[in-house]
Amino acid sequence: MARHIPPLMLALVLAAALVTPALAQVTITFRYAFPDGDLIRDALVDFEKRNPGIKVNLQRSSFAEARDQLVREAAVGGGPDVAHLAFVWVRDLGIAGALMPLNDLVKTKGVGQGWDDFVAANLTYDDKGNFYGVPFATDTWAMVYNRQVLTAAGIAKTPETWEDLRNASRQIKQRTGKTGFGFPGGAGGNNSIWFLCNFYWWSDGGTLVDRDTSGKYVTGITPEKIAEVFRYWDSYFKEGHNPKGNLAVAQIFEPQIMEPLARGEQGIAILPVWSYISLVSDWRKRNPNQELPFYSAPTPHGSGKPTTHLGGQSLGVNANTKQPDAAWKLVQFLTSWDFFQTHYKAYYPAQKSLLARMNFPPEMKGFQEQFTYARSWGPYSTGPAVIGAMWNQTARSFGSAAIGEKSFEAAGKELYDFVAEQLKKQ
Amino acid sequence: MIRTPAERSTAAAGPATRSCIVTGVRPSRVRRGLQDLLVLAVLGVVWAFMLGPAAWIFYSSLQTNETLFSGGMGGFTLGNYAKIFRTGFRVFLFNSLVICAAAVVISTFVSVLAAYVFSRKPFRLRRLLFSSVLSGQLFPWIILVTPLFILFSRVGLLNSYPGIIFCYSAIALPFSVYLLVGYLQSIPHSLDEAARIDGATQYQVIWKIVFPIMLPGIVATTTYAFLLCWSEYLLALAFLSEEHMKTLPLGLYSFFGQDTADWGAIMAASAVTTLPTLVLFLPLQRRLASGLTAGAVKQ
Amino acid sequence: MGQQMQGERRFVVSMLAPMFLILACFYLYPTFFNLYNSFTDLSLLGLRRGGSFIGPRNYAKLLAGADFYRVLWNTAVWLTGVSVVVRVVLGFGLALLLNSETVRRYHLVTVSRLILLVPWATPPVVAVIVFRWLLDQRLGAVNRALLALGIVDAPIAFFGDVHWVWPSVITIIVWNTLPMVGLTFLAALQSLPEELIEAAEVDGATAAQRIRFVILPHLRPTIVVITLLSTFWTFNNFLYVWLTTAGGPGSYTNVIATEIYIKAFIEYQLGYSSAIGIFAALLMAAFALVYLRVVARREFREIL
Repeated sequence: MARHIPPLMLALVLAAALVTPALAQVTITFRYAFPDGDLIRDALVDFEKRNPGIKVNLQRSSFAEARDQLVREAAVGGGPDVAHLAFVWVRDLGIAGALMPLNDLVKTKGVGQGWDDFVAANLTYDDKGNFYGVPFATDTWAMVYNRQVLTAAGIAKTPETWEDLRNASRQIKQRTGKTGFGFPGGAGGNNSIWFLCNFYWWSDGGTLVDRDTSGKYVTGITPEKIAEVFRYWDSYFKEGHNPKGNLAVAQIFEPQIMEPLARGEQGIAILPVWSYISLVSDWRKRNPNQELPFYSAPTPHGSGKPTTHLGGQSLGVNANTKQPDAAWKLVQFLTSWDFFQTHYKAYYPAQKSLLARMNFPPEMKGFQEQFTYARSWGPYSTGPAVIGAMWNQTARSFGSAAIGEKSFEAAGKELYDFVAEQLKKQ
Repeated sequence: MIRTPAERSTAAAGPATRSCIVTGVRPSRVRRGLQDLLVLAVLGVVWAFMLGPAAWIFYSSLQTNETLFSGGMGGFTLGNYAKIFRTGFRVFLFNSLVICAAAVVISTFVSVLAAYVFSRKPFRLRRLLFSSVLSGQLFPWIILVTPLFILFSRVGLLNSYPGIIFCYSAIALPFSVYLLVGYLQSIPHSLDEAARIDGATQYQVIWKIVFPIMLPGIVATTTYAFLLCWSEYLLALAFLSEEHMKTLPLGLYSFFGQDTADWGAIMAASAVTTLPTLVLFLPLQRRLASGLTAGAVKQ
Repeated sequence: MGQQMQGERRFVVSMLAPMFLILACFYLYPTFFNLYNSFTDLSLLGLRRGGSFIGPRNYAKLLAGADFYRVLWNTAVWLTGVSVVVRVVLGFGLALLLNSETVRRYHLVTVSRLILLVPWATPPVVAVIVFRWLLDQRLGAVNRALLALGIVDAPIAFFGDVHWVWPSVITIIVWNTLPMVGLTFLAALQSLPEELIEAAEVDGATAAQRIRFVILPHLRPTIVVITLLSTFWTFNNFLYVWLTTAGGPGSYTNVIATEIYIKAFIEYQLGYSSAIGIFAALLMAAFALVYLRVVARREFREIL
C-alpha cells in the first residue's frame, strides 16, 4: 500500500495541476477598430503567455462604426470587455453608461507610469470627476513637404506663416504646374477641413469653444474670423493650386490625395502620423534605393504658435463587463512600453515619458516638434457641444461658401450660430 | 391564325428576306453590314461601360498597395487574397451563404403562399392587405436599425443566425410578393380550377400544379432577394459583432481605418463578394430570363 | 355553403398569416419606436434613459428650415426622379439592343446577359470607389481620355463641380442597378410573340411605330412594376450619396437618408431624425397610393 502512495500523490497533483488552470480560465473580448488587427493578434498571444488563465477574443470593427456600435450595445447591456476608441468618444460613452469609471482601478492597480503621465487625460473625465478611458496611442497632424518639388519651384525656406504657405503653394503651381498644397475640402463626418480651420484659428488666438474663468463654456471666436479663415482655405481652390476635385474628397487617406503625393506631383500636404508613415513606406517600395524627398515640419502659425490637436485612441472598459480584473490586466499590458516596443512599433504611446523615449526617424522630425505644440481638444470635448456635430457643420458651411451658395460672411455666421446653439445646452 | 399561302411563305422566310418582300426592295449587303456594325459598336460600348469598372476591381485585387493606383503593370500578387482569408474571410463567406440562402428560402416560401391567395382568392380585405404589404418599404432603413437592435437584443437574438435570417426574410418579403403576384396573374386560373374539379385540395393545387409552372418566376424572385440580402450592410453591422458571425460586407468595411485604408484587401474582398453571386447566377440566368418574362405578360 | 366559405376563409388566413407575422414583428416595433420618439428629444447617447416629450416641435423645426426643402428636392428630383427615368429609358434601350436581330444572329445575347450580371453583383461601396477613381480630376481615366481626345481643355472635377456632381452620382447608381432593369425588360421583350411583330411588319409599320404600338404596350406591366420598385429603393437610399459625397460639397447633394444619418449618428438627435424618417415614409405612402390607383390600375386591376 505504501508503495502506491507516491504515484497516487503524483496522479493527484497532476490532476490538480491540469484542472486548476481550466477552472481559472477567463475569456474576455477586445474590440480593435483599425485594419491592422494582425499586430494585435500577435500581441495577444504574448499577453496570454504572460497571463495564463486569461484568453482574449479579438473582435474587429471598422473605425467609422465603432462608436455607434458601442452606444447601441450599451443601451442593452452588451459589448466587448475592452474597446479601442477615439480620444473624443470616451467622455460621451462614459456619460451614456457604456464604459465603467476607472478611478478605483487606477488608484489600486495602477497603469503605465502613473496617471499623470498620460496625455489628454482630461478628455476622459465627466463633470463629476469620474474618468472612463485610458489614452492608448496618440497622433497629430503636421506639414509634409516634397523637397524636390519645392526646389524646382524655387522655394528655399519652409513656410512659417499661413501667408507663406499660400505663397509657396501658388509658386509651385506657377513654376512647375504641379499641385501646391493639396488638401481635402469635402463634407462628411470625418472631414479634414475641420482640422485645417481649427489649426488656423488656434494659431491665431481664437477657438470655437472656450471656457471662461467662471467655468462656463463660450465661443472663443467671432463670425468674421470664421469667415476670414474659410475664405483663406477657399482661395487655394479658387487660385487653382489645390484642384477643385479635392472639394469632393473628405479624408486624407483617399487616393485622390495620396497618389499625387506618392508620384511626386504635389508639393505640400498635411497628414496625420499614420498616413505619412504609409506614404513613406509606399514611396520607398516604388522607388527602391532612392533618397526620400519628403520631410515633415510644424504647421504654419498666425500671431501665435503653430498649434494642432492631440489626437489619438483610448482604451475603455465596458460598464457591463463580467471580468473587470482581466480586462484591466489587458489595459495595463496594452499601455506598457514592452507592447509598444515589440508589437505596436509605428504608433506613438499616449504617455509623455514613453513618447520621449520614442525614436523619430529623420523624416518624422517635424512630427516630433509638432507634438510639443499640440493641444488637447479640451473644452470642445468636455463642453456640452457635440464635437461630431461641429465637425460636420464646419465642412458644410465651408463647402456651401466654396461653391458660391452663400457668402463667406453668411457661412461664418452659420457656423458661429450653430456652435452657440450647441453651447446653450449647458 | 389563318394564313394565305403568300403569308405563309413570307412568314417562313428569314427576317431580312421578309422585310425586302414587304418593301419590295432588296436590302443591300452593305446596308445590312453597316447596320450590323452600328449595333455591334453600341453593344461594344455597353460592354465596356458595364465590364470596365469591374475588370479594374479584379485587376487591382492582384496588385500590391503601392501599384494599385499608379497603374503600373508590375506588382502582381496573390497577397491580398491571402490576407483576407487569413483574417477570417472564409468564415464571412460561409456566413453570408448560409444566412442569405436561408432568408431567401423562407421569404420565397412565405411569399408563394401569400401571392397565391392575393392572386386567386377574392376576399374582402384583399385590396387593403395587398397595399399594406408595401408599407414595410416606406421607411429609410437607417431609422429601423436602432429600434430593431434594441428589440432583438432584448429577446437574445443578436449574433445568432435565426435573428439575422428573420430580418433578411422580412426585408425580402414585400417585393417578392409583388413580383410573384404579377407572375401569377399571367397564369390562367383554368389550370387550378381543373385540378380542383378533379378533387385536389387547396394545398395540393398550390404545390403540385401552380408551383411547378411558377418555377421560373420563383427563380427570378429568389435571385433578386438573394442579391438584396447578400450586399446588406446596415443590419448586419448592428446585429453581428462577433467575428465568427460576420458577413462579407462587414469584412469588406473592416479594411477602412481612421487614417489609412488597405486598398488591396478592399479590392480582393470585393472580388470575393462579387464572385459567388456570379457563380450562382450562371446556371440560373436562363431560368431568370424566362422567369421574369411570364411575370410581366398580361393576356 | 357556409362551411365551404368558412374553410375558404381559414385557407386564406393560413396562407397570409406567415407573411404578416414576419412583417409585423419586423416593422411594427420600429414604426412605433420612431413614431413615438419623433415627439421627443431623444439623444443617441440617451437610449437607456429615453428622451423627454416635446410634442410636435421636431416636425415644426423640420418644416420651418429652408434646408429641408432643398433636401426634399434633391431626393425627389435628382436622386429618385432623374435616376429612375434614366434607368427605365436606358433599360428599355438595352433590351431592344440585346433583342435585336443583329445581336441574335451573332449569338451574343447570352454573353451580354452574363456581362450585365457583373455590375449588378458588385457591392455599392466598391462601385463608388471605382467611379470616384475613374472620374478623378487629376488621375482618372475619364479625364485623361477627354483631354487626349481634345474634347475638353481642362479636366473636369466631376464630384467637386456642382454642375457635374449629380450626373456623376447618378452614373454610379445607373451602373450598379441598370442591369436589373435591362434584364427584366429583355425577358419581357423575349416573351413577345414573333407573330405580333411580323404582323406589324406586314402591315408596313416602321420601326418606331412597331415600338410604340406593339412593344411598349406589351412591356407596360413590367415598366410599371419596375418603376414603382425602383422609386421605393432609390428614394430611401443612403449608401450611394453618402459614400460618394457625404451630401457635399457643402450640403449640395444632401438627401433625406443622409440627413437622417447626420442628425442621428453625428449630431446625436435621434428624436429629430425619427421625425424626418416618419415624414419621408408619409411622402412615400402618398406616392404609392397615387401610383397604385392611377398608373398601376390596369396591371393589378383584379386586386385593386
